[in-house]
Amino acid sequence: MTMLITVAVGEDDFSVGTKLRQLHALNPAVGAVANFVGYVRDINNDKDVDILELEHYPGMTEAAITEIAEQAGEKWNLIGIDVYHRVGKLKPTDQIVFVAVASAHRGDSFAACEFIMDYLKTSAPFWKKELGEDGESWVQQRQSDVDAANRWS
Amino acid sequence: MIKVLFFGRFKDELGQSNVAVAATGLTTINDLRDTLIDIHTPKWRDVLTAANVIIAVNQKIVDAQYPVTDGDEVAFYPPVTGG
Repeated sequence: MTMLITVAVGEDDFSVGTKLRQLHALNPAVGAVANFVGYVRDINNDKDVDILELEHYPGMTEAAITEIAEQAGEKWNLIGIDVYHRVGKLKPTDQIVFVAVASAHRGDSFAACEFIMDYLKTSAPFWKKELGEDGESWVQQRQSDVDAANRWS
Repeated sequence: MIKVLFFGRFKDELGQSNVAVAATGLTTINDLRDTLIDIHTPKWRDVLTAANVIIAVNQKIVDAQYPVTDGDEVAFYPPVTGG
């Protein structure tokens, strides 16, 4: 069965419901859709965050995410993958990232969804800058995110 | 020319997002990095030789021994923080 990969980066918000329905509608063989949504938090490392600004490397970012999705397709039996990541200026409670995976049975989509997020966090070229009362600062990569991605190798 | 891009913290620290460098005499990323350091402030050495700098040539991650040729797009960036 061929797997459909959809990857996009953009400033616009997204509807989780619409995206899930589109993924389910790909194929009547879909029996499970697992998804993850990341949101902007109002506090990070005990500092108030007013604005989160996301930058990316156009072209390379989409290619890196597609490569991660293809790796997931080699590890699990998947029917479809949809990844969307927002860039630009976001505020607390905004949606940042969406990952959804469709498969015949739940085990494949649950695992692949977590795998894709773990690798996206450590290998897709995005950078976050926080703006708050204390000024602005670039977010540092967390060791816990690196450890999470390393679990899969 | 080689088009060199900087992202995230690097862009702010170097004060620019891109620079063009003549490919003449450059064989590897290391040569390109030495040239960038030679013609700029000491800050460039600190940023571009940091232990965790990530390098991409034509949007593929490579190491500092990787060859560069005229027309390449080279990027230097810090560890990523998306998701």
